[in-house]
Amino acid sequence: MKSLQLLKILFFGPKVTEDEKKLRDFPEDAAFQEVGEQVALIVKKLYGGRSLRIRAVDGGSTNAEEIELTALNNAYYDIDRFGLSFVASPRHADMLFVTGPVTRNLETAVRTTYEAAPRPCIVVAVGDGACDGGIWKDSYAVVGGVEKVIPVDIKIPGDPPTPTEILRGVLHALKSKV
Amino acid sequence: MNIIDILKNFSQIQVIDQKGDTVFASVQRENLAYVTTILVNEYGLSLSSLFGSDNRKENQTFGVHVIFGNDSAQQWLKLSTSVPASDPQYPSITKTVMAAHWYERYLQDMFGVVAKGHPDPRRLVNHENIPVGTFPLRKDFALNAKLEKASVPYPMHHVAGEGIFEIPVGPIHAGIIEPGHFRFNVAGERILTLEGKLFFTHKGVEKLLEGKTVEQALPFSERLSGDMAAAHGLAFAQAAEKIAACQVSSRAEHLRTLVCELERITMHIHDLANIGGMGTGYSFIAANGFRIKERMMRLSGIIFGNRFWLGFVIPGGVSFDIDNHKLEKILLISKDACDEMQKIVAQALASDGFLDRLQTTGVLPLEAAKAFGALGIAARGSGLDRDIRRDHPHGAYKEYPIEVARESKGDVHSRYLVRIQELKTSLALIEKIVKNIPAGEIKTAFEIKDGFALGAVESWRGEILCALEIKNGVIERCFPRDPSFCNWALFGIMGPGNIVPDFPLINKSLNLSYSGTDL
Repeated sequence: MKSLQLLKILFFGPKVTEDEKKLRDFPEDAAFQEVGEQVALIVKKLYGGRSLRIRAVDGGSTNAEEIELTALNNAYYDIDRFGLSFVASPRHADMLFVTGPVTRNLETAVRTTYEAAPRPCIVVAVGDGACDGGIWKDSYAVVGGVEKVIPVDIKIPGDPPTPTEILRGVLHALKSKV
Repeated sequence: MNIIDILKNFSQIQVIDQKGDTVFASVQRENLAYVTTILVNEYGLSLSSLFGSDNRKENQTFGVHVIFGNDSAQQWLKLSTSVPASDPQYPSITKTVMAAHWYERYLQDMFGVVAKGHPDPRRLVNHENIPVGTFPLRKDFALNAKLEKASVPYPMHHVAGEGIFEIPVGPIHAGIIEPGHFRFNVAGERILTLEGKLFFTHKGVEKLLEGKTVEQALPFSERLSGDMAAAHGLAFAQAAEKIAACQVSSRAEHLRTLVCELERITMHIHDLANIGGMGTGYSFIAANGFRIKERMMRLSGIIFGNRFWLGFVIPGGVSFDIDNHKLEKILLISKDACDEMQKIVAQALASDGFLDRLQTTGVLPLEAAKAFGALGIAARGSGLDRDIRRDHPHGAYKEYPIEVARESKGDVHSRYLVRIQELKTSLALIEKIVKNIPAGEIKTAFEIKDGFALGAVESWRGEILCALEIKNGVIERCFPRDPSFCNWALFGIMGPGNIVPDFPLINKSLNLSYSGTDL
């Protein structure tokens, strides 16, 4: 019975791939593709044909930035195809993404994450909060932009930045290292 | 039963005022815990919020305010007491009403008002680095105060014994999620105790809001939690409108309800994908669900110019109109997304391996849900019949009553089913709104007055209750209570008995906001 059910799902189950027309309906996807291809070229040059590994650290964001970083992995963006991927430990990372105005309670966590990453490590501040503390910068509970805690290579402003803007930021960061 | 009638049975309580659906009353501090207990246990009111205020300038006291929800009569009660600044304490409510436990610890950290006899008086918001005697919400504490780096102990629950191990996790996690620290005490794989340490993302939002005008404060409300921008914005706007006695037009109410439901659909699709896919390793569900969610985020991009349903709700109405052509597009895309997600989910639910992970995992018994004041999906998954959209209807919910989705087992599976059901309800509601939306103005003149009001919105996570007090045209005090604040402590009940690898699944089944809790 079970195998019959499986066959039924296989042949008559829901269609699970996106219609290509629907997928390419947005002009921003063409821009994303273009930026991605450039990133792939530079990654090849910089890292000897290997990939670029990114570690994301939340320094006190609203979670909107995290949603956009997660979106980079979905089928529309799929940054793996350009040789980029998110890793679980800073020890495996070539690049750090830090989001949010760094809060007092996360200052140590951000610093130790940076210290745990092998050098050279490219630090990217993602979002308005990470760039300069954003709307929260005057607060007693906030240290301020990421650069107040660790050296920052590039800032990606945005509230939050879109996946395309984030990838463009990565491209700029890599270009400055060539 | 009407609040006024209930209060007649208490000689200790003085009714001060009634404005709209909110009754204001006061009580002596000695009697606060007693009357709260009777109101909750015998009259079935819910303890919906508790917060402090600094009134030392006026009368040398601190205020302690408890908000009760009276669902059957669609009313709120604000019961206030004052404690002298020279002796800032009152008998703890938590001893008899569990739902107050985090609020009272919060009050102690932020105002230095002590709930005497609190069974767990440890620090909550203030981490090790905050010096003793720092009370950020007192009026004499400067917003931009530069605090010393202290090293005050922040003890957590600990079990000792042969074969017992402790696993600390976080605040930085392996995935791309928000920061929080979890402490497991385990015997083998089985969890004995589980406790979270939060408030890592505490940005001092309540303090930042003080002294700001309503217009200046709105962006902060929308950014309390990135994935609840519309709901938090609406709760804040509602509170401000109640104070200003501003009647929002029917068209604007319809559009606001629409955007809240769109946010719900987006995030329920995300959660169904995240629980089903990332929680159990059934990556097919995740890959498809996230793809469908992306279409909803792009819909927001097309209509609102950003991907997070931001900047639409404003005090007095909405910031721009949505024409019929766009409304049709919204309906088309969200119907497509919901229908496709239902098919994907049906496939997951047909898998025995999938059900095996979800069923009997992370059980929250009904009594615990009631005692802790659980909200939203967590409450409804355990059979608690509460939903602001029906119990305190606002906006277009008055015209289109919804059926509250409920399950009774209280496990991850129940919460999964509640989301599936709510996805259907939301889509049906969007259809009704698009078909019946009346023509008319979208903005009403809004002029702020002084006063206090509550804004209540059922976000996709659960009930948001925004308490707002305006004085001299600016914010005197604002406590936007996110539903996550009430639900975090539930892990202490849901975790034990499960194995450690099931914790991520249980965590995803609640999907609580760190930023919204930490403020």
